[in-house]
Amino acid sequence: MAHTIGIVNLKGGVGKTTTAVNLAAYLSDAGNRTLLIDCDPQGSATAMIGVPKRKPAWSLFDALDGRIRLKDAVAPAWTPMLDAIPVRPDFNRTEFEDAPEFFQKHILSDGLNEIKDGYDYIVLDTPPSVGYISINALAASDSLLIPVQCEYLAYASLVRLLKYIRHMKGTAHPGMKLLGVLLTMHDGLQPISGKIIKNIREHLKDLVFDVIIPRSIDLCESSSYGIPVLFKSPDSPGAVSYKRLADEVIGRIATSRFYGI
Amino acid sequence: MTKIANPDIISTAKQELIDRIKQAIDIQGVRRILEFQHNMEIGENIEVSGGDVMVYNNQLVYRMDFEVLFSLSVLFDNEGNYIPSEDTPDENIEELGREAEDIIQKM
Repeated sequence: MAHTIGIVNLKGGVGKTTTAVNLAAYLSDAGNRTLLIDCDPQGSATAMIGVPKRKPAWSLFDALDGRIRLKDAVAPAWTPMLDAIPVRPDFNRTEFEDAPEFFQKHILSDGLNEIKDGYDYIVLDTPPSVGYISINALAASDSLLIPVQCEYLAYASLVRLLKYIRHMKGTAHPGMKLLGVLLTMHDGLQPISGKIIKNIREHLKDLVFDVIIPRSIDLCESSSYGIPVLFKSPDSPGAVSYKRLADEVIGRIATSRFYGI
Repeated sequence: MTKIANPDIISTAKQELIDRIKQAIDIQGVRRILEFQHNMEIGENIEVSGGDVMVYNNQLVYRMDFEVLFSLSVLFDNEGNYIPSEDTPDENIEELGREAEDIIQKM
């Protein structure tokens, strides 16, 4: 049965979608049946998995509002080992955020239970906000991976997210576990980047992944091409770092190395 | 192998083509592209250092190389000790670290 990884951070622009897409690509490249689900109404992950050009018949939100079953929204992505559930980019996010009664917080996890046997890993790209979509994604996640940009405001946002997760553990989702904190967009020319890395490792210790994702033109370019970096520049620093992340993720899950249990 | 053209003339013509292209380049446009590509401010100190004709995605293209001069500085005191630049007070970062650690430990 699949392990579901929620890629979460309430701050935008920290590398959530880049991490979700490239982690899913490398997990599948390692021979694992992988499903990437775009839970962000902005549809950024959808744009990177090749689905929009094929005009997906269904969107995640068709399943969340009960029009179809979740398994019917699954579309093939770049490789036979990688599937995706897209969102329609023209989705009206506000409509959903203003209609909380529309959703139950376990609709996504109930749907995933029907298809989990078909995968080894499910990766959820979540929106940078607190709402019914992100609550569904958190409730459906077996563990959470938190990308944190190596900058002060992103570090402050991590603290707010940890408080939110602590609140969720105490109320809606007591079984919530942390897979790890991933440092992203490291820029060796910025002194603050090094300070944040040093401090975050001192305080959060093994919770922080060993690999650090560099700020990389290759990652930016692969996003603009709408493909994972694995298929654009497999030898680039960004690609190598995401391959290492996939190895660490596989190792942590295999040994049940979680935090906050 | 039967030689059917003078290689010196081909080489000279190729170099002349590159030199003509160098003169035709909008250097400010290139500067803006490079600044966007590399997320850095280049300024006016940019010049063409070389170029070549090559095939890319099944079409003939021209690759031009540029050199960029950066002005970077470091601080040090009378004893010669390096003084790191302070963009964010260390205590602010440390406060976040302590708070994050406390939350994890109590989770």
